[in-house]
Amino acid sequence: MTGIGSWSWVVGSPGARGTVAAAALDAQGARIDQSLTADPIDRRFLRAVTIDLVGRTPLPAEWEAARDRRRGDLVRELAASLPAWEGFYEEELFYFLLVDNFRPSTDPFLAMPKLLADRALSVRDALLQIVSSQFFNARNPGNDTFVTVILEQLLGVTVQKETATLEAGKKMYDGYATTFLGRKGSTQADLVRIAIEHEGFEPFLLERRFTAIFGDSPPKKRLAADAARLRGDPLAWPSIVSDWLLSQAYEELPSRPRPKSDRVFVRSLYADLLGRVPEYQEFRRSRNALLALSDSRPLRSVLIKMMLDAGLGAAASGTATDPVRFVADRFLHFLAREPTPSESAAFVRELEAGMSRQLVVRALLTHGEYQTY
Amino acid sequence: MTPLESNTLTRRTLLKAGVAAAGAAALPAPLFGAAAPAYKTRHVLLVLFAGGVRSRDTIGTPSNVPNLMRLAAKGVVLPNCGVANLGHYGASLSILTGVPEYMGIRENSRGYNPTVFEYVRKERKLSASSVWLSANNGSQGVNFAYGLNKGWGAEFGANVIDGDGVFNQEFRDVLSQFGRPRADAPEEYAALQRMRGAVRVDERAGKSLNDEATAARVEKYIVDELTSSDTVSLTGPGAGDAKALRIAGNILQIFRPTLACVSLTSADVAHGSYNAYLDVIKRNDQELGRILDIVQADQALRESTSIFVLPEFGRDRNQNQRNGLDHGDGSTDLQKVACVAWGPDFRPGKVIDADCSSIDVCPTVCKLLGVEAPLARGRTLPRLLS
Repeated sequence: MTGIGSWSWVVGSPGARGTVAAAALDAQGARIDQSLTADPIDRRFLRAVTIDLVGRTPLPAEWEAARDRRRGDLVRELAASLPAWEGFYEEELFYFLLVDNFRPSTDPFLAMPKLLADRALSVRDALLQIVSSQFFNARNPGNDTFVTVILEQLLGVTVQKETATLEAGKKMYDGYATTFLGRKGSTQADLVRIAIEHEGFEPFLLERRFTAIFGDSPPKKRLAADAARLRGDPLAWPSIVSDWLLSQAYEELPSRPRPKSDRVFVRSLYADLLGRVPEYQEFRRSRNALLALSDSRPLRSVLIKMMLDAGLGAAASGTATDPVRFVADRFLHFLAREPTPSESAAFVRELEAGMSRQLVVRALLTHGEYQTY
Repeated sequence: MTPLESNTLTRRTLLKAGVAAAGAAALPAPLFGAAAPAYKTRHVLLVLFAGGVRSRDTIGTPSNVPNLMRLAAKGVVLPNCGVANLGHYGASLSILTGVPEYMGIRENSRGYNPTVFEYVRKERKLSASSVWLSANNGSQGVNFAYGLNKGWGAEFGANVIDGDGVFNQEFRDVLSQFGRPRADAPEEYAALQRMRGAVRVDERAGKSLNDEATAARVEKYIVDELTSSDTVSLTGPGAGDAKALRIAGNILQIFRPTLACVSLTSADVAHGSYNAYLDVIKRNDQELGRILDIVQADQALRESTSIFVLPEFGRDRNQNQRNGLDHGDGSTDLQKVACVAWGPDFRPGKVIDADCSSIDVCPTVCKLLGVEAPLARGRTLPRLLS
C-alpha cells in the first residue's frame, strides 16, 4: 500500500464559485480577462483538471464557459469531451513512442478521438487498434521486441521474470500454435487480442493513468473496484476518471505542486500566451527540442523569449491600464493566484521604472512556479 | 562466466550476468578508500567515441585519427580494454556506471546503478552546472544523466544536452517561425532577474536539476548558441556527433565543469557502409582536435584537464554483404577496444598492454576527482595512476 492509501475517497461537493467581483476587471478588459471573475481557488482547480484531462491549460473560451458551473458537472462534461479524448489519444501515442515517423497517420486513427467522444469506441478497443497497427509493428520490429513491449506496456509484466511467457509469445508471433497467458492462438493478432483481453489489462491501464495524475499508485481496493467497473463497462473511462478528480485526494493535490511535462508545458504556453492550441507540427518541434535536455527549463525560457520577441502574446498582456491591476491580472492569468503585496510592489516598481509589460509576462512565464500546477 | 569472459555475448547471457552482478554489488567491497585531492586533475572530459568503433580503424590506422594520435602521443594508450555489453545503450551506460549493464529491449529507461556523474556531484557537493553530458543519443541520452538507485538519483544528475535535438533543422523551423531571440540589454536582464527573484518560491514543489541561477546561465548559453555560434549550421553525415563534440568544447570553456562527457553514436552507420563509418570517425576526430586546441590554449585547463577517449565496443572483423560492419561476431575486434587517456597525471607516450575493462573508467575518473564509486564493479585502470 502506498502513501495515498489513507486518503479519503469521498467525492467532493461543488467548490465555492467565483467571488472576485466583475468590478475588479478593467472596464475595457478583453475577453481573456473576463474569466478572472472566478476566485483563485476555483481557477487553480479548473486549470489542474484541464491539464490532467486535456493536457493543457484552458483556452479563453473554456475559462469563460466554466463560469458559474458546478464543479461536478464541469468535470464530468470535460472528462467525456473531445478535447479530453484528444488528450488521452496523444498521451497513449507518446506512451507507446508512436511519435514522429511512427505516428499513425491514416483516417481510422485520426478519427479515433471523435469516436471515443461519441462513445462509439472504448479505450480497450482503441488500444487494440493502436497496438495492432502497422505503426506499432514498425516501431517494435521482430518477435522479441514486439512481445516484450506488449507484455511490458499493456500488462506491466517484467519480462526478465516471465521468460516462459515471453518465449510463448514469440512463438505465437512467429505463427505457431501455442498457449500465451493461458489462451490458445497462432498469430500476431491473436497475441495482441489475448493481451488486451487479459485480466491484467484494466488494472495496469488505470494504475498508470492514476499514477500520472496523483504521482503515486492508487489504493489497491480502489484499483480493483475501478478495474472491475471498466471491465464490466468498457465505456466507463470518463466516469472513473471524473470520480478521481472529484475526490478529496485530488482536492489535496495542490499542496504539492506537480511539474508540467514538456507536452503540457508547450500546449499550455500556446493556450496561455496565444489563446490557442498549437498545430501538431508546432507542438512536435518544440517538444522534441525540450526532450533533448535533462532539465528543459532553460530551453523553455528560450522558447518563451522567442515568442515574446516575435511580438506574439499581445492578448495575454491584457488591457488593464493601472499597473497594479495589470500585475494582479497577469498573476491570475499565468499562475492562477493573486500576487502577494511584496510581489506586486516589486513588479509595479519595474513597470514604473520603464520596463515593458512584455518583460513582466516573461518573468512570470520563466519562473519556476509556471513550470508546475 | 562473466560477460567479459564470453566470446559470444547474447542478451540472455547478459541477463544472467546482470543478476549475478546485482548480487555482487550488494557486497561491502569498496574498491578504494576516499581519495584526497592527490592529483592535478580538476576537470575530466570523457569521450564515448561510440557507435561501435574498432581499434584497427583508429589507433591502428593513425591517418584516420590524427588528433586522437596527438592525445596518444602525449598520453597513455590501453589497447586491451574489454567491453561490457554489445548493445550500444547498455555498453555506453556500463562505462558511466562501472557496472556491466544489462539493458532490455525497451532500452529507453534509466539504469539501476549510479553514474559517474552522480558519484562526483554527490561527494563533491557540486551544482549541476559542474557536471555535463553532451549526447547524440536521441531520447536515450537523458537516461544517462542519473540512475534509479535511491542513494543517488536525479538530484545528483548531469545536465544533459542533445545538441542534435536542439540545434537542428526542426528547431531552425521554430526559429524561422518566431525569429531568433534578440540579446537582452543588460538593464532589461537585470530587471528580469529582479522580478523573477521577487516571486515567492514554493518549497513544496520538487527541486529541479538546476537552481534559478544555474538555469538562467544555461538559458543564456542556449541563446548564445542559437544566436552567435555555428553549431546550428553543422549538417551532413555525422552532424549529430559533430554537434555533441562542438557543444562539449563550448561547455568546457563557458562552464569549466568538473566532469564533462560526450556520447557519440554516428559510427553505427557502419552497418550499411564501411566508408561512411570511416567518414564519421574522421569527422569526429577533427572535432576532437578542436576540443584539444581549446584545452591547450587555456593555461588553467591545460594544466588541470584529463581526457579519456574510448568506444563502447568495436565491430566485426569482416565486412557484411552490404560492405558494412555489424557488431556480433564475438571477435577480438568487437570485444577489445582502445582507451586513450591524456592529462597532467599520466606519463606521456606510454602503452599499457595489461588487460582492463571499459567498466574501469568510471572508478578511475572518480579516483582522479577524489571521490569513491562504491557500487562500481570495475577497478582503476591498471598502471595509469601512480
